Amino acid sequence: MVLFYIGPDNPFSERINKVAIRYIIPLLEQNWALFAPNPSTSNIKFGYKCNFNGQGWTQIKDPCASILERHYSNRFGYSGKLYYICDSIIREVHNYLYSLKKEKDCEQKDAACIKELEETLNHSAQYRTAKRFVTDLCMLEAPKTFISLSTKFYFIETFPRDFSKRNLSNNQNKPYLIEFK
Amino acid sequence: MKINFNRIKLLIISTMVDVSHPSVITIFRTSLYSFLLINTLIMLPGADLFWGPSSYSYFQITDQINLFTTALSILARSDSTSFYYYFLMLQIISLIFGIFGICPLLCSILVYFLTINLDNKAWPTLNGGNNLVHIQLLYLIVIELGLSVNRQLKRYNVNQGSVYELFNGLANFGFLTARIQLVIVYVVSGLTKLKGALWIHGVALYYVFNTEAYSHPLAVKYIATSDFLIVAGTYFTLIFQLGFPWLIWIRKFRKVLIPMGTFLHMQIAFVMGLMDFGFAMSVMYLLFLTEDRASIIINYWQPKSVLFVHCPTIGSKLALKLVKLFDFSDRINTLDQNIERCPSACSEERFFFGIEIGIEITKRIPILLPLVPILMILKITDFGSLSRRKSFNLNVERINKPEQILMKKELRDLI
Repeated sequence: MVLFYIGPDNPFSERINKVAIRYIIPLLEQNWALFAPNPSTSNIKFGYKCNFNGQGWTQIKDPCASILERHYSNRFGYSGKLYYICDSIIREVHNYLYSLKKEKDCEQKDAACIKELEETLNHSAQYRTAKRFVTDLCMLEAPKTFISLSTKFYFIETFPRDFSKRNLSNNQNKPYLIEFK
Repeated sequence: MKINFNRIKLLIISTMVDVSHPSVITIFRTSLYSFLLINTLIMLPGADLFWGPSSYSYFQITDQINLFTTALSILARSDSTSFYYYFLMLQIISLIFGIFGICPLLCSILVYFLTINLDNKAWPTLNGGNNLVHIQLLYLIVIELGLSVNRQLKRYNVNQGSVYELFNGLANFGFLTARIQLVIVYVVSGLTKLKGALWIHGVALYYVFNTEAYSHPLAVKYIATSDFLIVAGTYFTLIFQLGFPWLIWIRKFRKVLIPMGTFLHMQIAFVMGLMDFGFAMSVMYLLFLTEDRASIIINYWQPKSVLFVHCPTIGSKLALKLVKLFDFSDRINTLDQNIERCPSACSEERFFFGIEIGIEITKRIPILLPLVPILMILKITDFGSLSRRKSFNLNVERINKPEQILMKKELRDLI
């Protein structure tokens, strides 16, 4: 039954899944298809900017980059785990936005729908966690006295060269970027 | 087709006569708990960021809310700032007790409950290895239930009839399920990989190594630029995952499959940086050890014979007294200085010199077991011989079990 539940789709799996789901989800939840069929073909990056007292935005920074560097130099530490947390913060916001867009299916000119979507996003645990993280990061580089703090963060997806074009020097794929305020 | 129910009945009864793999279970339990303990200790310096109030993981609401999911997400649901500390300490204590086989059933339940609670709190750090460990911890409870009930039945000389057989069957069922679970991982992973164009065309590893989170600059430089390594590595992974579920049941293939699998998962650990996943999968291979091999390993690491140590100097006497503080099973004794030989009750004796003495002492004291590999290296590299006359000069061991002689053949030949 477990095999039918987690295996590739077949004529039996739909019927068996209804029964299997009742005991598999609480105790034996698994999804080994996660390792397949294809590996990720992009890199996710987290960017953030701070603005103290309305004096202008700081340069864009990636908080996960230094953690990843530490993970490269020492595989036995906890930096790897820390990196996955850092990476998941922006990934989860993006995934939630993606699911919201799919659910609401707003048209470009439908301002009310877009506003509702933004509000739903801003109240989500994913967005609030990311905002708290970015605020904490900005506080680390804040001047001694400041009245106001604004933050922005970015979901940046970069793509490595396709295998077939790996030896071409001027064929860098264009990154994909979303700004969150 | 006529079904022979008598044969099926006999087959089922044969699985209930005795626990089929007690030594394999011991090794698997010890290794799995050691893995979890190391994993927790590694994360301990950053505990606050993973489980504490500074954590950036939030509670994920699931559709399936029942007694189990609620009990396993107590920590994730809690807003208390220092609550995690108790979970963490209890998990470490349960793991240490479990490693030394103290209250194994209680430990297995506690380890399952605490580990999943901690993991559910730090869910962004999880991967397939953690998922597999969770499932295997559940099977371990089933196994320990069978073993513990039978241990109590034996201890109190209760009539060992059908109840005894039933719990034997339960332990064997848990063990077989744990093995099948590992096979399922490879069946699903292998079959779904066949649907992916990148795996079929032999270029999947190129994209894996170009994903920064699961790569290393050296891998990008040396592996991702080599067409041969990319294609060979991709097909090796595919063939291994498709072949493992069938070939692992044939003993002669295990000798090849397990080293190949360990190599694959060590690559995932060190090159891709998924340390816990790589080591968790390697620990799972221990389920496929044969019982004979497992009992040899256990006897090698835990000799039942008594060691008599000759201590001619004050320093060596003091050192031995210190060691004796941890010798709860009384496996180390001082040899009478005048005799310098094994007491008359010895059925057989064996002599150890230099670093060998240190190895034999540490083998008999569970708390010192982590030192054994270090002493082994000292022995192999001949560093150990430098300390030969420092503290002890003659030691005699009484051998209780004849098969232990086989383990130290070179020493027997020496004598």
